[in-house]
Amino acid sequence: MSAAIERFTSDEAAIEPTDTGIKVSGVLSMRSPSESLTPYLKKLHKYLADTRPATFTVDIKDLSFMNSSSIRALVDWIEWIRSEPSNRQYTLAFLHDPRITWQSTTLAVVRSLDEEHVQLRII
Amino acid sequence: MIIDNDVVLLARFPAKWEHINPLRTFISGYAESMIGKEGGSEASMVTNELLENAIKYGDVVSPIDFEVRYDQANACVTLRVANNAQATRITLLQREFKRHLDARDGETFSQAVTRSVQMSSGVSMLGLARVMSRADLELSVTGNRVTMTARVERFRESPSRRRLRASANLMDRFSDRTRGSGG
Repeated sequence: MSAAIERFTSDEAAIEPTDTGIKVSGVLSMRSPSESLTPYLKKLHKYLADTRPATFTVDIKDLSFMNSSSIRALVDWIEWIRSEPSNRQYTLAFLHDPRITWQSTTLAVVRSLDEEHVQLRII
Repeated sequence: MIIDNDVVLLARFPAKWEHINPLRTFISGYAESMIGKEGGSEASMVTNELLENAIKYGDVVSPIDFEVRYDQANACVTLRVANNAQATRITLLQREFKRHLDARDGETFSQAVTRSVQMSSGVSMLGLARVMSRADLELSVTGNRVTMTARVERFRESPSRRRLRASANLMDRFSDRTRGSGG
């Protein structure tokens, strides 16, 4: 899977492919995620809808901060999955550090949008 | 020496995005040392969202005033962000505050996210909702001057909330195993 997924880098954040998904690190606090992060996630979503892995892991335990605009980009990702026909839907498993308050509170909100397609896993 | 309600930081800087991260990082470290790791995380988030909000919705030629105080008696960090804004932006902020106050027990961040998903266009004010769901926030407007003041206290997780979180984690693990055994 990792060979097919592109890297994403911004001034302070990086998204790297892993064997089971992606690893997000640094700080996601761009002013306009719709110009860079959202198109990256959209492309990734199309690939995942086509290949349909059982579960796609999104490891954010090394992400030290995420602003609300970037959270909105995550929410959009969930909405894209929901709006696909059932044979193109897949599940995201967010790997996070429960000791980091913003990760727990934010992911609880993201999961509440779609418990069928969002799982939370702690390190 | 720290005394009650000490002013920790007074800063005035141009309304530019690149100033947010260094200030957030400083507040994160400072608040963590004074009110614990969770408090530091909350103060970091509040600082970021208030500064982003001031830059996005404020007058770009007006500098931002940022004040940080520490109340030792109540183990509380107070963050104050002030700048000038146009009347239309101030009306928007006041409307957002009213929406939160009118909602029963306040609008949660989850509700704000759901609302933002349903919006086809417009300003979602998710950052403000995020702050209001985690900290006491006050809005003060004098003429075209907007001041937002947030209090972040030492985080204490209630036993019922801790049980709920543990239960959610167990359910996720059970769900993973069920899926794994099914195929």
